[in-house]
Amino acid sequence: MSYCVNCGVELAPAEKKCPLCGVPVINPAAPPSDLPVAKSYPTRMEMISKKIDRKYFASLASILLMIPLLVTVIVDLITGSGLSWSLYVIGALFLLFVWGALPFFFTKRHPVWFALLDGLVLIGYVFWIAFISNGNWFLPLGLPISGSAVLLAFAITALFSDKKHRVAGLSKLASLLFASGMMTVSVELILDAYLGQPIIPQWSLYAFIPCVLLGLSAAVLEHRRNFKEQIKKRLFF
Amino acid sequence: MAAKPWMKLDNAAKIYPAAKRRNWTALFRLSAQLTEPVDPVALRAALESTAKRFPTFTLRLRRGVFWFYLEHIDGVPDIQRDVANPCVRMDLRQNRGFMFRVRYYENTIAVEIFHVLTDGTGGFIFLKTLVAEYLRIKYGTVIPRDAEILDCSEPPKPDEYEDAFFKFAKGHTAPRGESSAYYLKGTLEKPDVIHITNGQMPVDILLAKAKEKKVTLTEYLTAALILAIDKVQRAEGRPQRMLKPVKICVPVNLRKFYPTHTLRNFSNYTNPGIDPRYGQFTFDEVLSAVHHHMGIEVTEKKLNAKISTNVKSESARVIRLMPLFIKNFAMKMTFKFVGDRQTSSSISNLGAVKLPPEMEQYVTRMDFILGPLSRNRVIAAMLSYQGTVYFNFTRIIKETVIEREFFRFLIKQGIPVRIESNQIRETDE
Repeated sequence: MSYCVNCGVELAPAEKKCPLCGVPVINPAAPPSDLPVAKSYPTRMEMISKKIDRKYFASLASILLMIPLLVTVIVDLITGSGLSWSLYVIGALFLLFVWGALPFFFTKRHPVWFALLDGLVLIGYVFWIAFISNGNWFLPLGLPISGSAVLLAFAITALFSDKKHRVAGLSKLASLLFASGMMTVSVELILDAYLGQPIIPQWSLYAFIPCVLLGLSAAVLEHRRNFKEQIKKRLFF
Repeated sequence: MAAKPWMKLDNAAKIYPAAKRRNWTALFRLSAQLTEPVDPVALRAALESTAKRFPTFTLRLRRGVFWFYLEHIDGVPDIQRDVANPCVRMDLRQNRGFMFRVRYYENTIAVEIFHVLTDGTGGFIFLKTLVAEYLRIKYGTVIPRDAEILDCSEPPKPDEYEDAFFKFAKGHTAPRGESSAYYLKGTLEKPDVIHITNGQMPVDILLAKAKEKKVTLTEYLTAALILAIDKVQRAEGRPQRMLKPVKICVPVNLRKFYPTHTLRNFSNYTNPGIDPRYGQFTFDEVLSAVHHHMGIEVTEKKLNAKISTNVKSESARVIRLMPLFIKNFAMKMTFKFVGDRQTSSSISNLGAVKLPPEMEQYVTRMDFILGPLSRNRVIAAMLSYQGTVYFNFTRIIKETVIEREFFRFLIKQGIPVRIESNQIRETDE
């Protein structure tokens, strides 16, 4: 029979430390024996599995995507000669499938690879539109713009999902701001090149400079612990 | 009388299916420890015979257009080995639709019941009958049967099915609003981690202490818990004027006030407490507050007004004609935002358990455990048996501070406490 020296309560023989305060039981008069002590509770736990049936959800979503696909294809076939406008819908639905349903077929999450894949499919869709509409804008305009957007999105996802070096909240904001600043500049440069104008950033600077400045201040504030604490205190909910 | 094919949920049960979440079911657990290891084969036979006598247990939950309803199912749930985390959420589909489960571990038989079926008193009649049947099958013991331990050779009686809330509500209502209370935030555990801290105290000493203060045992322990929580709140360092009321939910068994044999829910509650903004309460002041609160609230008149309010809101045509999915959402929100906000914790007392001597010689201990609630993260349930009060705390946070303050306080009052826990390993994160 042991008592907790801290709480004064008697402890059941199975208790190795006080359940109330965590102080270990040391009783010189009754040293712990190796014999098993009767416990009032089993040791096995019932675990709640967190698994949601992702594959089921993904297949259901894929089947549901078939409805608009079939409807547009059939309507297009009936009304016109062959497939024409429904090709856009087919491309868009494929994009939706890759973006929304495909990740759920995998039990593990691979955000970086999926970001890359999603980006490539997006570029593919842009190409698909250009191809169907016989446009010649894909190489000079569509590819560079969507390509740079995809690159930036890929870089950001890779940065955010790096488990070894976690990026703090304000640094995340900063990198997002830098990325959007860079994006505006590259859009202008690509447009300039496409339109045959001198390649100098002009209007995009109005977006780029505030983005960079705000991003810099976020990055600086990240290292001000007191300030962050102040913000946390006021914004808690 | 043959088992009814389906029935409505009783007035108190209606909230529980809506409040149920994937990780949480409103459960409570009753258990009896025997002198010898439990024989699962005999237990299964006992359950089969008991289930026939309790048609209000062999039900499953179905969705109607306007309300949930209960449908009879044949058979009994499988007997399960007990686990270290009692009252962990019940997966109804995994449980083949049954809303209760029977578990055993060494000498202990336990039933865990979803509150839709019945309340603590109804559940306790079920457990006692199950144990009596087990003893009859295993040892051939003849145990006298009455209203507490039902005779399983008899058919079920119609008045055991009744929704007593509807039968006894007189119609005059009382306002429901109450101030929200302090609650301990703590560090939440994962949903499958449920800590049980059991304190055993001699009834005679506790009763003498309570008598000394001219209060009941429940009032005495409620006041001690209020004081423990008050201390925890003050230690958080909030200024006095920002302190929140400390209130404890104390369920009240309505069968004491009305002649009914219902085996379904028939209880209400009251929330005694203090407002710490008025200053530091002494134990005597808390005792007096609790005692007089109970004197006003735990009366037939007041309780009837409270149950009438619930019955009236259920009978309102607007609510009845609302499709279930809207009603369900509304009830979910009500539970989330009102639910257990009005209290800091709760103490459910099943009272002094008396078994017939033929049965008592086989039963060494009984326990009553509440399943976790949402905001009240440390709650308690108790009963007394063979001269010992078994007081069980259910906790879903890491911090043991409320139990510690509570039991240390009782020790200081000169009440010896023996502590035992389910010793769930410490979890990271």
